[in-house]
Amino acid sequence: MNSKKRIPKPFRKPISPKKFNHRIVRRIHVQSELDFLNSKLTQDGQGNYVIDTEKLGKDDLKRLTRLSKAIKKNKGLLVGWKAAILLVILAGTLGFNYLLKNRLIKTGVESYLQGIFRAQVELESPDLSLLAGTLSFEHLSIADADQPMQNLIEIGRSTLSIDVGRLLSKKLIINEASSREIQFETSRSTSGELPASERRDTEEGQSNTAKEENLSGTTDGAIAQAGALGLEIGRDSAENIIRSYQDSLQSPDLIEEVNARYRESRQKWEERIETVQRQVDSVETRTDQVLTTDVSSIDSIGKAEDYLTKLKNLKSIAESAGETAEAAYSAYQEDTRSLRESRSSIEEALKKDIDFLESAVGSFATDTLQVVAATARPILRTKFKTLIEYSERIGRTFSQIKSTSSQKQSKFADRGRRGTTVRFPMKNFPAFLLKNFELSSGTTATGDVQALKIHDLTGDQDTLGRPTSVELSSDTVGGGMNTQLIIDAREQSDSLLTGDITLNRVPLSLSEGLSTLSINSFAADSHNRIEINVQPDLSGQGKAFIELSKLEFTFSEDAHVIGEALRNILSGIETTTFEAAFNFSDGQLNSLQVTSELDQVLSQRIANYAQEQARVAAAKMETAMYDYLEEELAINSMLSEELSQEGRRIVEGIKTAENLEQLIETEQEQIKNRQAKIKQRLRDEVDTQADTLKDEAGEAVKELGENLNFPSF
Amino acid sequence: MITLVARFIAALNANSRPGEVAAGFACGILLALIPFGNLLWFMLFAGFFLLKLNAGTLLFTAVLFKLFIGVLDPLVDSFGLSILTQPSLTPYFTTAMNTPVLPLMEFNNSLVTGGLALGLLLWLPLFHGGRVAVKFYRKGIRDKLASSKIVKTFEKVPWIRKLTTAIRKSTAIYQGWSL
Repeated sequence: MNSKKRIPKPFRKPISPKKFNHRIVRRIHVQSELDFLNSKLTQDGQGNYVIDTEKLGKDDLKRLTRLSKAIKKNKGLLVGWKAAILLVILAGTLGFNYLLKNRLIKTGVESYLQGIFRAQVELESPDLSLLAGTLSFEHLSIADADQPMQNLIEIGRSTLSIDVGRLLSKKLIINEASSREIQFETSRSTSGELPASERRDTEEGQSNTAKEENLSGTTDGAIAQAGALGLEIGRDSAENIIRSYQDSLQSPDLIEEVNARYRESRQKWEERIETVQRQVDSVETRTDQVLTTDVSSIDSIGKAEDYLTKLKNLKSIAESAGETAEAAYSAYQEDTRSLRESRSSIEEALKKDIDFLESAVGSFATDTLQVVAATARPILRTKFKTLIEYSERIGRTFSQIKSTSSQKQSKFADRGRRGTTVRFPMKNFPAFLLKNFELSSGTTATGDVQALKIHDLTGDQDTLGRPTSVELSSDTVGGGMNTQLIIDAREQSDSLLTGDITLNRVPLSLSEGLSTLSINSFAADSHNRIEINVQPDLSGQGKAFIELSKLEFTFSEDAHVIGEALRNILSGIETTTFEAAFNFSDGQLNSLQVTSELDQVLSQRIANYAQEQARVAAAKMETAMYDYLEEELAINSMLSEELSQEGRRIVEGIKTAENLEQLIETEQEQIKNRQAKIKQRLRDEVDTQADTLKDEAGEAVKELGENLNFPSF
Repeated sequence: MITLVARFIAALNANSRPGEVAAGFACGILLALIPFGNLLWFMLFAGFFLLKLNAGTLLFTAVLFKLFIGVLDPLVDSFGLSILTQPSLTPYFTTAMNTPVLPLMEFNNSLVTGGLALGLLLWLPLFHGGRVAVKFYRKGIRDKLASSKIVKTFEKVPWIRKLTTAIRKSTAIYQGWSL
């Protein structure tokens, strides 16, 4: 019996032939062992195999024991104990995961936070998934130790999800980090007080309060500037305006210069015309002297020729005097032409100066806009200062957390076997990435919800290939705000920051700083949207769309000219929209251009007002201008007239010389006729004398013939 | 190394399934073909130890063939490269490379993929061949070898004596062959 007990378990009971073949023979792979077993087995009456204990020695029993172990070992495909360990690990993990894990987290978190806040902490439905890398809970409330019936804070569904796989490659990818419906100081249904033994007084920290920058000084300065400008336009002082702009006027200097040239020219022509005049007078005197001779008294050719010679000399002198006068006149005309042109340039300069002064007066609307810009500049700069500071901080943070990942060679690398590495398109991830971050406070039930959402926050946007976007929204019963910012620090990016800020139903009220404009107060509801674009060098541009509704102005009674104008302009306006385009660099606003419906209305009305004022001022200014230049212009006209008289004197001299020439020529004709008549008379007398002599000679010859008795007589 | 050789000889002679030894042999060849030091190698190594195959044979074969497997590297490299560059497989490889953890397998290396593919292809022939060889050894050679004069002479050599001692320790488990 004892020996039977020592027989290995598989062989204690009779074994059926089928079971023997399947479970024993098939698991013995050494023939000598099989032969040994067969030698120790006998078959009973039913054909079952039984160990014959009588045949078993001590060594046989040991060998049988080892054989049974070998048979047991040769069973199955899995190693039992290894599989069991694996199963235990799996079962433990699953059991911990589904039964213990979340309870442990709930207990641990509540205990830890209660130790910190010394008040009740309730954590609902915590869920931790190590494989998924997710930790979440539905609700967390921390009671106020000082006011047990009130919660210090309540947090709704919150999730933290990390990409565990990427952690292996030393990259922290946070898929989601969110806490919703955060509320403070909410009431509790049960007391949040801990047992008295655990209570301890807590210290409250002090919070710093930020002081708002007082902008009234700069604003008042700009409005004072507007007032000064308005008052200046309103004042009846065109002369003052002309004086103030005297340095910019062209005509006074030009008139003075032209007058100087007139004076110089007049002096020069006085001397020259005097010379010409003397020459002409000399010719005239001599002509008069010559022409006093009575032509009929000339009775001989010789006298006639002498007289004719005198006339020829006189004519040449008169011609010379005429040519001198004509040359002087040509030079005079040339000289006066440039002066006439100068006079034209005076007229043009005068016209330009008048236009300039009119435009200076008419630029009231433009100046007003500049004043508006100057007023808005410090306000906008202050408003955007925080944004720019935060942009700079974000930029610095980016540069700080930016790092390049490096791949290390595995120390287990199979040295000597390199192979060929095939590159497949890899989606790179930055060392740090916060895909989705969300914080929201309040609930829709209360109508007061604030939310901050950040997407794709990383220090290596180039690797990620996407910019970081930030969304900040606040919805209240009275209004709301929505801000969307896109921060793109990638190298090929054109703009570092692109923003869209929307403000809805924001009450607007101003009661200070408008007194210069004679406005006591201003109130409106505003709907605003601001688009901003910031370049990497922190310069950029933006647009602001502002819609004002329910506009209400109250004006002071003692309004000056601008106040009166504004009262008329603004009193009928209830709603309006503004569109402001602005540029900035180095954190300062460089330009601001505002256009709006109100701008159009104001521009039109202001333009009308300004035009009217400008017309009045221009008329006054023109009159004043002419008054101012009257003396100079009179001198100019006088000089011009005098110079014209000089010209006329030259012309008269020329005419005189020409008349003298004509007289001399007439005299010459007369003397020539007289000379011809004398010649004819002498010729006739010679003929008569010849005929007489001829007749007398015939008579004498006839008488002689008769006396001589020539037959032919 | 002596222990490995002893465990291999013990496995050959012990009352273990020929399939276990053959599987250890085939898996050892597979581990030798795949370069060491990547996740795939460690996963296969761990997985093999969960299966009932002869660990001694596995380690001995892996270590032994690791010494000479470099001769096959050009073949394994070209084979792996032909697989990795198959256009139809590129999307799967790309997806795998972009999946966490999987790139640690370094399957984009031609020796890894080629070694794995070749090892899997050769596994069944090696397994069946090994099993036949073990059976043949146990049936025809084992007893003759054990009683041969050469073995008896070698047993007297000091380091062979160490080997024999190691085998005895191993056979203390199996006791299929009493030396």
